[in-house]
Amino acid sequence: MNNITTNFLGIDWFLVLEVIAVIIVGFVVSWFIRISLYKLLVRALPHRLSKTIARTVYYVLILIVILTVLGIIGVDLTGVLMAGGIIGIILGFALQNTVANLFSGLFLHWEKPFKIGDVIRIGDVEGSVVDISILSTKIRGLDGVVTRIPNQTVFQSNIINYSGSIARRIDFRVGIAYKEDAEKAYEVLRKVVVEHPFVLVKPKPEIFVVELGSSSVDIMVRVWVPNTGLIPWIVKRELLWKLKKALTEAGIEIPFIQTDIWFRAPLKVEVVESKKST
Amino acid sequence: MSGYGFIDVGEVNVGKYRISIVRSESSLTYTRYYEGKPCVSKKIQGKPRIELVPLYPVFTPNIITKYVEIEFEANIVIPGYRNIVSFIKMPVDIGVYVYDEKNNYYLIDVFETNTINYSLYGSIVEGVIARYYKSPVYNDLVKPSFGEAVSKIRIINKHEKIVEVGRIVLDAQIIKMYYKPGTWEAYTQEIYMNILSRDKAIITYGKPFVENIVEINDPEGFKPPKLRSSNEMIWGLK
Repeated sequence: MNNITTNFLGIDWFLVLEVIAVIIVGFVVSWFIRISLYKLLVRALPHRLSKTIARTVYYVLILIVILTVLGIIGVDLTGVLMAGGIIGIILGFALQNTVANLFSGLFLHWEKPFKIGDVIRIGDVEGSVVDISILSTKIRGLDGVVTRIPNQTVFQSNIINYSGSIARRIDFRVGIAYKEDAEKAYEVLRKVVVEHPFVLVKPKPEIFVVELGSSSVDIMVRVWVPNTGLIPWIVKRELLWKLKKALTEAGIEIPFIQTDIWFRAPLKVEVVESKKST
Repeated sequence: MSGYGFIDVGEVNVGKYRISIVRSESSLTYTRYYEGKPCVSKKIQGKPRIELVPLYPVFTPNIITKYVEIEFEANIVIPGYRNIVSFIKMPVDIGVYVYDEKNNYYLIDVFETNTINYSLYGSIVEGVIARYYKSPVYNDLVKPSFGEAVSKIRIINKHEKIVEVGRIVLDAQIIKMYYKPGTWEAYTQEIYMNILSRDKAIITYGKPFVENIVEINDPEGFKPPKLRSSNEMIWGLK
């Protein structure tokens, strides 16, 4: 009787039931893991990245379910597993950089050395971060050009984040001639600095002689500016010229590099008068 | 007419600027001049009305903060569990609103009346950028000059020890601005500085303290938040 029930029409109905049960349970559990994993990851990682990881795990689980079902039906999986192993090795070599970028991307998301909108410098690329994806980071330079940097490179590089603080210091080095009065130059420079709306009153701007150079007395002008958008860059651009202009208008000389040449032997100068001049 | 409020066709001098309003059948042209040259010009369709108002001083050169730091010319020393009332001045920007027939308003121009300065209140990591102004501290109500608003400050020391106060930081989103029509007089509401310790004070905002004044409409982005009616100060006390 039992044999009739399970082998009706030549089909092993118990096996069919087992397969259906494994498929249903497998898919439901995979779906549940996908949703739970996404909810867990989205607390720490960006939405898109969490979704990608959850989806990848889901597809891997579905593959396991399919292989399990094939095993139950009696399909010999030795060939599949061997082929899978070979494909795995090939993919491992082929995707070496991709996997490195992926893990670097994950570490960057955890460490958060910058966020979208921050102005950063990585190597010789400087600009505003426009996208941080799982494999790469995109930076829009001040010239509008977008550079894509693989996350592995980002992770291994020194990252300078210009947006990491509320205010930022900008230094200007101005040289004046030795004959000039440095204190008069201080006053001229201070007037220019305090008139700029974005130079912060506090912390106070600092102006002092930083070096007695070979051709000039070098004055350091240090100002703090709000670190918002392009303000530091705008102040840098505007102030440098205004400082130069103010010194020139005050009659303070900004010297060129001067070199005194000393001759070991007395220098003999021969004057040849042309016929025309005589 | 010279002062805050609605202005009609013609020209009016506002500080270093001159404002011209020319009305045609279907539109109105608003132009602001500086040293004889137009620096802002807008053509508004319909039959709009133009209002000059004092605005929180955070609009010029562009909005980078919503905080205003007023440093007192002389520090105020308050014994424990005492309170004092003082008056201070703060700078204002001048805003130009346009109103349509349905009384919808839109800010078409903002300009400064004073030298603009900003400061860093607090540390470079946790602090904020604030519009900076240094004000004398008055014992009695003073008449505000052009480009300034007067605030009544009630400093309440809820701490047992003597506290020295050198500044106040105000939130432009919560503060309200009022003006006396036809004059350049601007006022804020009464402001309470509740000192809880030498490291912390809570700034809350009360009601207007002058009569016959008009409250300005808040510009877009500066409407008071529904869940927050105060701001904290953790630096500037000792």
